[in-house]
Amino acid sequence: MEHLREQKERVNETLDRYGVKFSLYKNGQFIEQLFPFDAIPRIIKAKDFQKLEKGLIQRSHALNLFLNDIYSDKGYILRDKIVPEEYVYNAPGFLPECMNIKPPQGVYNHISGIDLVEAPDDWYILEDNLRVPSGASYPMIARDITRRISPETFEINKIVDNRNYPQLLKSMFDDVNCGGITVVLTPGRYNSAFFEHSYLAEKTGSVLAFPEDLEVIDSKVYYKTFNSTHQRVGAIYRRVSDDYIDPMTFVQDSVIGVPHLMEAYSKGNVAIINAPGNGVADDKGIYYFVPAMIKYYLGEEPILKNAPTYIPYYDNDKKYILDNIENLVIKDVSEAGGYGVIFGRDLTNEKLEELKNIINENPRRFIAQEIINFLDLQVLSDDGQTTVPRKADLRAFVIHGKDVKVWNSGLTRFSRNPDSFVVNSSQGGGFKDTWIMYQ
Amino acid sequence: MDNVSVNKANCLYWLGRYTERAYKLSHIITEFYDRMVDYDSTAYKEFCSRLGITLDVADKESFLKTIISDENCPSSIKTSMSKAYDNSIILREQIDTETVAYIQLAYNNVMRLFSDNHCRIYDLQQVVDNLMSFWGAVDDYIIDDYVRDTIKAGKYVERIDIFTRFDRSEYKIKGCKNRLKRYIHHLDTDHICYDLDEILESSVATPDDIAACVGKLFK
Amino acid sequence: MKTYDFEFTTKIDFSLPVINHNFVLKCIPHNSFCQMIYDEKLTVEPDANFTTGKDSYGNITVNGTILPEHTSFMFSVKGKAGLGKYKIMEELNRVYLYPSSSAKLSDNMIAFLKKLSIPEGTENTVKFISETVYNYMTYTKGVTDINTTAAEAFELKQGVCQDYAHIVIAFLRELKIPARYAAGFIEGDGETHAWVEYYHNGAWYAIDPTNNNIVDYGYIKLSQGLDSLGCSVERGCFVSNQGIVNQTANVTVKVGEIK
Repeated sequence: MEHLREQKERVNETLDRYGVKFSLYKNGQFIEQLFPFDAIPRIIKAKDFQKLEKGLIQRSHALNLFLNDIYSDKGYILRDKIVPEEYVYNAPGFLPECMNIKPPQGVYNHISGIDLVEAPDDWYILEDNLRVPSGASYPMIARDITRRISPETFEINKIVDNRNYPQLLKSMFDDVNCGGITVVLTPGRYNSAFFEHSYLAEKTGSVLAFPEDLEVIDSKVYYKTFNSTHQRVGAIYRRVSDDYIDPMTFVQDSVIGVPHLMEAYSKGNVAIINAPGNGVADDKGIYYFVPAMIKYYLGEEPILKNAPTYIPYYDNDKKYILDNIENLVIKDVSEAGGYGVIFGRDLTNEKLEELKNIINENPRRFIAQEIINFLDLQVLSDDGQTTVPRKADLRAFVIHGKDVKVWNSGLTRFSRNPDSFVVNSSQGGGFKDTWIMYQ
Repeated sequence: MDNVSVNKANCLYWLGRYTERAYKLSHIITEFYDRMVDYDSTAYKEFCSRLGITLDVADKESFLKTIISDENCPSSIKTSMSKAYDNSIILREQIDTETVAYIQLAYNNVMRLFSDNHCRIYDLQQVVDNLMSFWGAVDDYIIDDYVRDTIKAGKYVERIDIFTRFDRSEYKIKGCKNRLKRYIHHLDTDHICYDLDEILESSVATPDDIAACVGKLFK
Repeated sequence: MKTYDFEFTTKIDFSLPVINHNFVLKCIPHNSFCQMIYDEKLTVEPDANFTTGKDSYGNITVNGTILPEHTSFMFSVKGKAGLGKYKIMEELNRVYLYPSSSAKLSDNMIAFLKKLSIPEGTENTVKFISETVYNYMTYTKGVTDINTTAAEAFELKQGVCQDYAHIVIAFLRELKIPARYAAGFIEGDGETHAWVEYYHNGAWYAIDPTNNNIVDYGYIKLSQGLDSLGCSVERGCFVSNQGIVNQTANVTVKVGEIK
């Protein structure tokens, strides 16, 4: 691995050559930035990854069954009071427009981006992303580049190849496709993940489509081509959020949507990847119930742990939260304009009392979690001479077609600041390759 | 072009035009700069008038800086490369990531080599090399003939325009016209540019007339 | 069973020509436990390609596109409806127990509700809430629009049938009575109407808070939903290359009993 570390410059040059970028708006200006890459990989041993793999497959299965259940008119898990109804029907991510629609092959969460952290004792799941999880293209291309620049590293270390992600995607696309081509629907050139949209379209042999390229005729979706023919579209890997996907059903003045798409979808003529309405299952409030879902739908014990979480909705939990608030992290579940994430230990006594009152009055609005002291990873310093410890998480990608498969890699993001737990790329964080070892 | 939308066809065409503009103008800038070195210090005036632009420059150094790297100058190499880049990244799955990378490299090199005040004409060679590699990649990686011919149609429309402005020989211009004709005949199955041959033969038709005629196909 | 003739026409005029006009209409009544529709005929002008489908509430949708330039849009439905006494037996979808975008309580509404002495029993409660809202509100056209929420109308103390319905629905759900929005026509009315369905003993019944009466006959239902957003009779998006387009709609409804 020493050799690879010494090639930092060359790796960055090559990333630059391939335009591995993400975009953002700063002070109203569109700018493209390189996503900083750190050559020291996160290494996961075969045995550890096998456990993660099983746990992630189990979780993805359970979440999919949950979505099938609550969007049917049955809602067994609600009737059996495993999940309180109000956590579903009051959730901003619950879309009544999706009730009674059966997605092709019964798959909702085709691509789950599940965020985990490693603590000294075990891995913990932090969050499920079931809407449009992004980021897989970065480790894919980084692997390609590092293999070229430092082949000896890959000769010495026995690392599972991760460049099969496009094949995983493609075979899932084919599983759910309702007849026709598969398109990657991008909102446009100025989207923060446009690089990934075009890269995945190329690598999966799909067609990159802009909203105006798609048209619904007789409840079927078509791609309009240059020579005025129409190509039937059987699956849409959309990178447009639910709200904007069809102005006839959701936000009416959306210009990045495809009018009548939901009608074509509801008639089973096209697969939408991921399915609309998934936001209800990756809600911070629903997260608490995922272990219970696994037991309910699969009759199994959850293989992977949630971070220990409490919801004030239950009296026992509420008591625990109020008694231990200074040791907990409190998260506001109502997304917009809320309190965000609060560490109890950072508050004055007065503020703590205030928070307790708010929790008492709005039990549905908050969740509380034990603070997980997750492990640091070593990151090369800017001069490349030394390493420094930084917080990092892992986004695992789980692909759900006919079968459920976990990609043999993941996106490891790290924070650039020593004291920060924030690993988002838009906050200046960087990424690492994730090596799954054969041994 | 089964999977090429109207918008992408338009991008392919303009990718051809902007890369050719950057490429051919690089040669011509080198030529004019050479004249300005000893015997014709105001040759940039002729350059501007032939291109139909006005530049606020006083000597060969400021000319070089502006025409290569001023993003506010519509004919600068940087502007052309930035537009070529904008078109190329939409076309990744048609033209291949490797092809896109040469546009990216050329653009990065314009940014890197001409960002300070000490521009060297010699450094333009790197950008030209990247563009030559781009054309190699176009021939090598692009499988769909229609996709490749659309880029090349753009290339030759642009080249006819530049050659005409800078009074290149009739023989050379004729050669470009023949190539353009070949590409359009292949692409234009609906005879939208039915009058192209006539325009290309005409002695009064301008490069703008040619561009307007071909442009109909990619609207 | 009573039989009615109905005819419903909407004509929208655009102040500037529009193109690429997509629309969804929920203008065709569907069959239910107490409603039989027959001889129905839909006309759309200008001529449009359309398909019919079903939305997530079970309403009939008409989905179409008009690409060429046009300056007006008309749709008309006529047919016959056989109506039984208003009662729809079906399994309850419990989503109707929870607040929705337009039928959500505000703090003022909660305070208002707390002060009421609500009688026992679902039917009594429903009648009481309907009457309370009927007395609280003043029927005024033009002060609210299709996007007005229950909370906003409650502050105004004014509105039309849609607002009355939203407020009653929000209250009933708070009182644990499943409630949903219904849009359609009533006998002799000149426009579309909205009322409230509530669930009781395995069936949906209806009450009309705007007229303060229990619904039995004479209400032809076009659509149902969590609130008015799921029951828009017409929803469209289009392009104009000439500027901001103003729309004026002209709606006529004729419902008469066939005796």
